[in-house]
Amino acid sequence: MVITGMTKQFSNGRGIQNIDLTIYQGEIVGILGPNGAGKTTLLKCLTGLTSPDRGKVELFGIDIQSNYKEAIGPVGALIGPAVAYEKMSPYINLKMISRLYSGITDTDIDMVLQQTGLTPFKDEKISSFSMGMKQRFGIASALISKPRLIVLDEPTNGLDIDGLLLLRKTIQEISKHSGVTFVISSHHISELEKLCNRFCFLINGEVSLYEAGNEPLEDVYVRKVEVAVR
Amino acid sequence: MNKKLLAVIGISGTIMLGSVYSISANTSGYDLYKEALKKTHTAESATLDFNLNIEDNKKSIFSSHSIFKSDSVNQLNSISTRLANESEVSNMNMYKQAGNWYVIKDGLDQVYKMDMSKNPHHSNTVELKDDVENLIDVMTKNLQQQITVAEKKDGNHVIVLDLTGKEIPLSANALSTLMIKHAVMLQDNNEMESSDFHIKTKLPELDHEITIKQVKLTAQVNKENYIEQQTIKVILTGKDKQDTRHELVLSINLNATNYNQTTVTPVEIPADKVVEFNHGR
Amino acid sequence: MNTIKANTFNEIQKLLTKKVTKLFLLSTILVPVLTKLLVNHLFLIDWVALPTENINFTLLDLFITILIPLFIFIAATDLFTGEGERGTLFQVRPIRRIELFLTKVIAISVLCLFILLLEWLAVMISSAVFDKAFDIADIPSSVGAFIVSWFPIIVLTAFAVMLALFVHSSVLAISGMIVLYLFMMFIPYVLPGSLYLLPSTYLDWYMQWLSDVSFRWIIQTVTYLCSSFALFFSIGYYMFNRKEA
Repeated sequence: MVITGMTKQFSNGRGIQNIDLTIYQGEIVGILGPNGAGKTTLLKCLTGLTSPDRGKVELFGIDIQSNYKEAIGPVGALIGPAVAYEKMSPYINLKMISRLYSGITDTDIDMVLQQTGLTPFKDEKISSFSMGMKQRFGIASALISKPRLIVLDEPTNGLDIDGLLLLRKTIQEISKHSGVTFVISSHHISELEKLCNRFCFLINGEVSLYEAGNEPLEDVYVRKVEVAVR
Repeated sequence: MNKKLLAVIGISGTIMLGSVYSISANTSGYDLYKEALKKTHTAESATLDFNLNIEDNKKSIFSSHSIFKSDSVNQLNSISTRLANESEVSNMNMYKQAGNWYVIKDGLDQVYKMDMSKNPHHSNTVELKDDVENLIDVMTKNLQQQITVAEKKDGNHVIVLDLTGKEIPLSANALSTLMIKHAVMLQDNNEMESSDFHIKTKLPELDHEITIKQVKLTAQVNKENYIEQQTIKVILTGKDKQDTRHELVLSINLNATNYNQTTVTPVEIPADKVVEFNHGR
Repeated sequence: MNTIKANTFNEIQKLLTKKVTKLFLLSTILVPVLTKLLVNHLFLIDWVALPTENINFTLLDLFITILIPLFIFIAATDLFTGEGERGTLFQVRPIRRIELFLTKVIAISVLCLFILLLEWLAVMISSAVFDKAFDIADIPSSVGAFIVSWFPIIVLTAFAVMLALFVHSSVLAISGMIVLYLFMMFIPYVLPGSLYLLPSTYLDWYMQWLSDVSFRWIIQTVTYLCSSFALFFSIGYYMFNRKEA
């Protein structure tokens, strides 16, 4: 996955400038940054939900601007609140999503529900779900298409401890067994530290990269922020 | 991408406006007839031959034949009418001169004078007419397309509107049924006091299953855009209280000739024989 | 599964889950049946014998000029404005914008066709059961009338979708569309020149197919319907494409 010279400017002056970022197959990359630094914007540009003012995004060697459908096919994402039709059950929602891909069976749907702990609620309406359960569904909907790249924006939002543990376990399992690439943004430094092998700090609309090392991530983060402020 | 899209918007918008223009510019029989009607109203004089016939189950129950001469420049009109039902025949002549209508009936020695001064009919303003025209134009938009026009060799146009069964709007059907019911009730009430002038018609008293089967209007418009001939045919079916089925056919045939060339000669009205007769009785 | 087919299916499924859609489908069956029952077995039979076909077409009129437009407005508002509000409009899924837009329009149109056919069936069955004057020979002309009525309805769908994309609030979208529609119904009485410009004028064009159709008129109205559909569809897509999640 390659991002080159990406810029997205909003009318209120915020945005991200000239970002170059390359992520390799099988990595788990954590995106860190203060609120409003542009984490979500970066991920939205990455998944084609918004188009950047300048720059280019390539996924698996395919340009998403010119060939959106092919580029986004192997991507699963949860960005912002979980996207769901609330009048329907998680099962039906996942069923609808599965129609857009080929080769997703009902067994796959059941498996994803299992992975996110939603099996007991699979026929209830999503409108009756708590915030954490909706988040679990969001994760399920990102996993359902068996993607090769999974983008999760604040996946731990609203999750209870069970959910958190389940999420960590799932990510580690998927990563280990099928070499899927993850890009995860979070405020939870400690959570990311446990999962990721590379980090991307997004401060004031600019990125700097850091390979997982011995130094506690929190210290690295504080140092980066200080550099940026200066 | 955007440029292509804007091009599509531009092209389709243009084609749409073009088609709207072309639909609006359709000179349908409706417009032709409307224009002819307006032109005909401007004629200064004409002779009209008016035939009306009502048949009940193919048997004539009422007919009238009138020759109507009108000269609006000199404010002169004359009508001679022959009315007939199954058994009786009656003739009468009407004249309009000096602002009054005079009626002379066969076999009666009197001349009836009708005072028309209180008649409020001529108060239509032009503006109101335009509004009514708009209203009719929009309400009849679907009927308008059913009006056909044929051009004859001599340059005359024949305009036909022929509606049968489902083509007759439901509202028209319901309304006419109501009117017939109402008319039957009125006829029952007024049996005793029918006017001296009119010959009685025994219309079958339709009671149920009243339906308009066909309405056919034809008009022939000549080269000068005057209506030369107008026919109306309405077929109505229904059953009376005894459950006998009636098919009523109303046909009207109007021939107009001598546009702007008709002269009406005033007649001598002997003053001592004039009887005042209130209009609207 | 083919993306367009798959997502059309999804959009239809979404609409069918809505209570209001179920209500419309129910009324599609109930209205003709109740009308026939009322006309044939209650007070009306006494003296009016409105032709059966006449009533059937009046029922069609009721649907194509009031109920189906209302359904279109609700559906277009829900699939575009409503999803925009709830944030479900754009997702990270392998479907192009144009496919997403097209499938939503197709979904509404297909449901309208379904309503039309269901109504036709309800009219015919209740007519066969209740009307004395039911005539099998009338079936071709009536099924034809119901089907040609679909084309102006598709145009109205594109029109409603376009409007739905101009506003950001569902309440505003639905009320705006209803007010505008009423306005379109009445404006020709004041401005006769506007009559043939409005898509609402063509909704009852089936009437002209029932009688002798002139070839010229077919060309003109079909041109209008095609070009206005292209216009509304492309403006709608232009707006849709500019939207960002």
